[in-house]
Amino acid sequence: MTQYEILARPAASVVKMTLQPGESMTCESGAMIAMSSEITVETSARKRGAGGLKRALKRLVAGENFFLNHFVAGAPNQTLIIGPGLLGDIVHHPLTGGTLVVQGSSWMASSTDIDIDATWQGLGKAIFSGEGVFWVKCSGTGDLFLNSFGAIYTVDVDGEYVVDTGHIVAFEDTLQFRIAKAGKSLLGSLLGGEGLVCRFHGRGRLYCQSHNPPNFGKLLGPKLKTR
Amino acid sequence: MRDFKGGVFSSKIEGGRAGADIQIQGDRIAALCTDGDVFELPFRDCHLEIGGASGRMFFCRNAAKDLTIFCEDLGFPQALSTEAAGILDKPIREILAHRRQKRRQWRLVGLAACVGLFILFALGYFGILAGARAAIGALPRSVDEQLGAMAFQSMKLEGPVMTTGAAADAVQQIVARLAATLTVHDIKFEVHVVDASIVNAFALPGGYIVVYTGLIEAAENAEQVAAVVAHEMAHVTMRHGLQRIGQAIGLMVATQVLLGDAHGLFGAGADLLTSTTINSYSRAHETEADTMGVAMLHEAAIDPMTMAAFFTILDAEHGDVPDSLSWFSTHPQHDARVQAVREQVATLPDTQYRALAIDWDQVRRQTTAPNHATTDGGATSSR
Amino acid sequence: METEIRNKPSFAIVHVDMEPGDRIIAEADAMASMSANVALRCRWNGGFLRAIAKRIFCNETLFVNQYHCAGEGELVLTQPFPGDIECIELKGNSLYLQPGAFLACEPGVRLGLGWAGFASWLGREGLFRLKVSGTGRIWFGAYGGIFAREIDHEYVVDTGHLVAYEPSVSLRVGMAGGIFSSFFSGEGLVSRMRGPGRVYLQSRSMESLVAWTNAHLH
Repeated sequence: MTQYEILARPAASVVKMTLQPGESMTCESGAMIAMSSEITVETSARKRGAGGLKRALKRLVAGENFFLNHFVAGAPNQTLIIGPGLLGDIVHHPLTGGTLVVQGSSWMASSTDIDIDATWQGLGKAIFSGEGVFWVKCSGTGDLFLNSFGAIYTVDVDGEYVVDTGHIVAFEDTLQFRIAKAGKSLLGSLLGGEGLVCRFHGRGRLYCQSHNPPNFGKLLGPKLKTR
Repeated sequence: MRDFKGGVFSSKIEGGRAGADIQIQGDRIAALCTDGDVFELPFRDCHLEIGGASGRMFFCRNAAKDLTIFCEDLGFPQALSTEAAGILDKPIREILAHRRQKRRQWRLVGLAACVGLFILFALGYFGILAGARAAIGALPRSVDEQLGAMAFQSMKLEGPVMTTGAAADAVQQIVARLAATLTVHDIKFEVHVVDASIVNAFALPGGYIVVYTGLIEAAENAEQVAAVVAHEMAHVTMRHGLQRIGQAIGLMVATQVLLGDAHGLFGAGADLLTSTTINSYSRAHETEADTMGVAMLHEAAIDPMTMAAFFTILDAEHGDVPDSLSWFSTHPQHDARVQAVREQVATLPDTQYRALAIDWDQVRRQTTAPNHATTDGGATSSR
Repeated sequence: METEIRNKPSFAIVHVDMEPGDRIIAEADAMASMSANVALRCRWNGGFLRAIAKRIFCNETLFVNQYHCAGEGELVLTQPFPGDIECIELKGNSLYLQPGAFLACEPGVRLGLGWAGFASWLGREGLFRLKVSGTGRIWFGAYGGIFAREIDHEYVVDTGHLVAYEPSVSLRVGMAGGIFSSFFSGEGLVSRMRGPGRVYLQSRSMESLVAWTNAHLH
C-alpha cells in the first residue's frame, strides 16, 4: 500500500502521498495541488483500470471527468499532494480484492491498478435516490481516497443500518441496499423531511458524510443573484 | 402572596443560571429553583435595574453582583413596592417613571417617522405613476408594434384563425369603418377572428386585435360587435398596454431601490402593491376605452347605444362565466358602465346612424358551421 | 441518553446513543444516519397553526420527528449548513434562538414563537425569534463557529452574527461609530446588547458568504 497522510481534517483535508518508483496513482482532474519533480503525469481516457472509451463515457455520465490523470513516480520518495475542490473531508479505504461502491462525486483518487467502473444503479433506485445519484464501482487491490462535503464517519455495519440518501459516501458491496421510507407511515416519512432513506443489510463497511450538499445549496441558492 | 415566574443568575448553580419561582417574603426576595436550591436576597441588599429583551425585566442584584434574581411579570414591581415599602418603593417608582417617560418619547418619534415615511411613499408612488405615463407618451409607435408582435407570437390563441368566411369579412368591414374615424393614422390594425367558443375579444399594443367566434355568436347584430371592436381599438390608440407595463416596471424599480432586495414580507407586499395598482389603473383604462369607443362609434355613424345593449346581453347570458372566458366579466361594474354610456350618448348631437351592411344571420350561421377556411397564423389587416 | 457533538466547529454533528425510554425531538430532515432499530414519529411542530407560524417566520420546519429506540441504537443529527453546534441544558430558564438555529431538544423543552421587535429586524437578526424554555437539553447550531459571551452592561455585536441570547439581554441597534465612520468602516449597523446574561455568537455569517459569492458571479 502507498504511504500516505491525511492532513487538515475535517474541513480542509488534503492527502500527502509518498510514491516509490513504479507506483502510480489515478486522480480526478484538478485534484493535484503539488508534486515532486520526478512524477510524470499522463492524462488519458484509456488505461488499464480506467477501461476504454466506453468506460470513459460512463464516467462522464457518473459525474466524474472524462479524462483521468495518472501520476507515476520516476524516482524514490516522490510526494504528491491532492485535495478536492470543496471544503470537506477525505478518507482512505484499502481495497484488498473486494469492491467498494462509491457515490459519483466522492471518488477522488485510487491506485492505478484499481478497476473503476461507473454503473447504472437501476431505474427505480435512481429515481428514488433523489440526488440523481450515480455510483462508481471500485475493485481490485490498492488504495482508494474518497472525499465529501462534510466530515466522513465510518460505520461498520453488522445487521442493519439506515442512512439518509444524501449522506452516503461509499459502501462495500457485501452490503445490500434498498430504498425505504424512514418511519412507519409514508406520509410521516415525507412530511418529516426524511422521506426515503437507504437501509443497509449485511456485514461491511459504510462511509457517511455529515453534511449534504444539495441541502446547503437549497439554503444558499435562492439568495444568490441570477445570471 | 403569590409566586412569580422568573430566574436566577448565580455562580453557585451549575451552568450559572436556572428558572425559578420568585417569592416576596417579609424582608427578602426568595427564588426557588426547580431542583430545590433556594436563593435569598434581603431588601436591604437589593440593587434594582430594569432591562432585558422585553424592556420590562426587573433585576434584583446584590452588591457583589454575583447573585441576580430577575422577573418579567408585570405584577412583580408593584408587589415588591408594596411589600418593601420604605426600602425599595422609591427606587422602583423612579425606575418605572423613567421608563414611562422614555417610552413616550419613543412613541412620538415612531409616530413622526411613520407619518414621514407615509408622505414619502405617497409622493413617490404618485410621482412614479405620473412619470411613467409621461415617459410612455414619448416612446415611438414602433415600440408598441414590436411589443405587440412579440406578445402575439407567444400567445396561445385557443383555436384556429379564420382567414376567409363571412365572419372574417364582417370584422374587416367593421375595422375599416372605425379606423377611418381615428386621427392617429400610423396604427396598422390587424384583426384576427379565432374559432373558439370563448365570448371574448382583446387588443395588444400595435394594433393586434383578436375576436373570438363565441363573441360573434353572442351578438345580435354587427353593430354590437362594432362596439366591442371600437373599445379594443381605443385601448390600442391610447397605448394602455404600454402604460400598464411602464407602471409595473416603475413600481418594481422603486421598490427595489427603496427597500433593497425586496424579499420575504416586503417582497410579497411589493407584489401586492404592483398588482393592485395595475388592476385599479386598468379600471380607469376601461372607462377611457368606453368613452373613446362611444365617440368612435358616433363618428363612424354607428349607434353607440349598441354598446350598452351588448353589455346587458353579456351580463344576462354570460355573467356567471368565469373571468377569462367572458369579455364582460373582465370588465366589472356593469350597471355603472351602462349608465356612463347612456349619459355620454345623451350629450352627443343627434345624428342619423347608418347600420352596417352585413348580413348578420349569415355570419352567425357560418361561424357555427363545421367547415370554414381556417389557418393557424394568417391575418386580415386593414389600414 | 449519551450525546456527543463531533467534528466541531466546521462540520458539527450530534451523535446520540439511545436506550429504551430515551426520546429526542429533532427538526425534519436533521437525521443523517441511524441504527435500524431507531424509530421516528412525525408530529406538527407545536400544533398546526403554530407550526405554520414557525415555518413562515422562524424558518423552522413544519414538522418535527420524535426519535425513540426499542433497544440500543445510535442516531446522527446534522444541519444543512456547515458549522458548529452547541448544547445547553435548560433548568426552567429560557433562551431566544435566531431563525434557523434550532436543531434538536429533549421532550421537556417547549418551543414558542416570539416577536423580536424592529430593533432586531434592523439588526438583520430577524423579525421573529424562537423561544425555548422548560427543562432539558437543547441543541442549536449556526454557520461558522459558535462562541458564548457572558455580558453585563453593554456589548457590541455585528449584525448577522447573533445566534442566541437570553431574555435578560436587551437588544438595540445602533451605528458602529459616528455617521461617517459607520459608512466607511464597512461595519454600518451593529447590535448593542445589554446584560446581564449570555449571548451566543457565530464566527461567520451567511450574508457575508452570499455577498462574496454574488460579487464573483458576473
